Amino acid sequence: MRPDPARPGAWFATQRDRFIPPNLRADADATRRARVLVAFSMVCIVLGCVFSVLALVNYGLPLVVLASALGALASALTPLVLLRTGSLQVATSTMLAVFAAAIVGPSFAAAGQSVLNLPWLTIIPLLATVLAGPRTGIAWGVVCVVLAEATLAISAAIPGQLVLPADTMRVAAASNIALLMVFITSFAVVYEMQRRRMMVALVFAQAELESVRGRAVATDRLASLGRMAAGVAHEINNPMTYVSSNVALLREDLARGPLEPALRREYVEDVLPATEEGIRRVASIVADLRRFARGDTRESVAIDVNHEVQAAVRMCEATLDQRRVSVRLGALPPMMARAGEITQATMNLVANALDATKDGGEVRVETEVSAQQIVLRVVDTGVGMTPEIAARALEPFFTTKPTGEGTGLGLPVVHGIVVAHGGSLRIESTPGAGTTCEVRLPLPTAPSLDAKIAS
Amino acid sequence: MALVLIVDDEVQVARSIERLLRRGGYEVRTAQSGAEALALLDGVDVLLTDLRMAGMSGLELVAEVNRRRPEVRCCVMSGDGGSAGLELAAAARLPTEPIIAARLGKPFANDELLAMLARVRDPQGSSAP
Repeated sequence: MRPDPARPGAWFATQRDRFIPPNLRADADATRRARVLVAFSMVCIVLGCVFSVLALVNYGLPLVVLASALGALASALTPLVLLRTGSLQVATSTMLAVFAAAIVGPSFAAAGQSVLNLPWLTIIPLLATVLAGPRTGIAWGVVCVVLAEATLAISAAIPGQLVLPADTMRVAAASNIALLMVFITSFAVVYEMQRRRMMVALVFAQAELESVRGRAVATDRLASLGRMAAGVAHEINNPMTYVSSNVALLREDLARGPLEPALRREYVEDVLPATEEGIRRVASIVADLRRFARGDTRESVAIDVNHEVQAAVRMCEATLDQRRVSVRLGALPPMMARAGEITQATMNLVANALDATKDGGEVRVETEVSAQQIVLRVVDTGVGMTPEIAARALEPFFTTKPTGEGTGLGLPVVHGIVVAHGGSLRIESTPGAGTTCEVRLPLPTAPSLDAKIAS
Repeated sequence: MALVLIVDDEVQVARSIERLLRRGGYEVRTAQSGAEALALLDGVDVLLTDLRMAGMSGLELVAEVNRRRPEVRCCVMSGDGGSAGLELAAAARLPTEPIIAARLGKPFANDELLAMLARVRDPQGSSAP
């Protein structure tokens, strides 16, 4: 930062930042604390010098001069200690220790002159809390109260030292209690500030987590698309085969001249309807793919979970071979959800169930409403999981499939999607008997539905 | 006249190929499954089967036809877009390796199919069907 003559603050900031040790610069919070410490030191050097001169010139009080000079010294030492040690704790403690000595020392040596300085001890725990955190603040608070009380007690006990009247002593004792109150209050304030800062950090961390989850969902979607590619190609290429063959034949026939009535009837009643049906099939597969690929939209919309389940099952159908999927859908109310993600979660569960199922086996997919929740159950009677594998099933990148076949993201992504929709995923598995995955999605009541959309 | 047996569990695929081949001067039978095809093998010159079918798969059918009627030329068609790995894995599970005269990816142009059949029928390319 170059000093800017138009802004005196810029020069100050430049000087201040010269004392921030390199090891703290990476940490925004530590840098902020170090800046506070150095800035406070710089102010205190000036104030300490001014007070020393004032005390010397106006009042001729040597001990107050000593206290102010010590304060200035502590303030001058602090940035150097900070730069040298790279530790906020050490620098703060150095400063506060010299401060405490500067205030208490003269008071102890001549209670009559500066016992009323003792309330200034309040500033020490406050500073300690701001600079080094609540724990250091508490420790310094205790130290300062003990120091203040001890100073008063010792001053009163030494004959000839105490020249103050009893009234003044009561003021001093009361100011000690005020010291304690101020310390507690300031601690509470700083603690609250810290809590808020941590809340902000938490929100950022959650946003980060959400973006990581989003990336995992996207990766898994691509992997699923790759896995499905052969099946989807099969589903599209079959109708395309007779669509293109029929159309080519029709063109050849038309090129020869008007169609004979019998042939014309065959086209109109048989060939062309079949061709149209083929085109409709291709279009519906493409629509399913689009439904799946639109997972990149982040907004929740009102969906019927059954539609997403049906799309997911249709996309898995191409990979069935000799296995069956039976679907039993209960009537579901609409819910707010990211439709593509629900399709993806269902598809992952069905694909897993199919992978675990041998030829001739069956996978059951069921939906229903139970206890104000939408329940989606995918049941297979396949190989099942041992407790050890089941325990790791939600661990990202954990897979029992051969390299190149499983990404290890399937179930973690299902879990992530379900949790992001406020639901839960339960997996029950018995080795050799099969696995049941149960997704429960909450049906929001009307007001909380609005809140969810808003957030 | 050559007799072609078309096997595809998708009825419209079988029918469109049937129409095409009849125009091309072939005799045609169609079947929707491997089991059905095995019952219709008598007098068949060329078998044209889909690979991925419910029940008996195309490769299993070809292996069985090789065993029962080794003179039948077997062609396969598949809409998987070249998943040769899966096909090899499936073939490895069969007791004998299926002998495939030609293969065709779906969707195909009508001319492609006719040219393939002509080639299979007469590898020297000397005569029409």
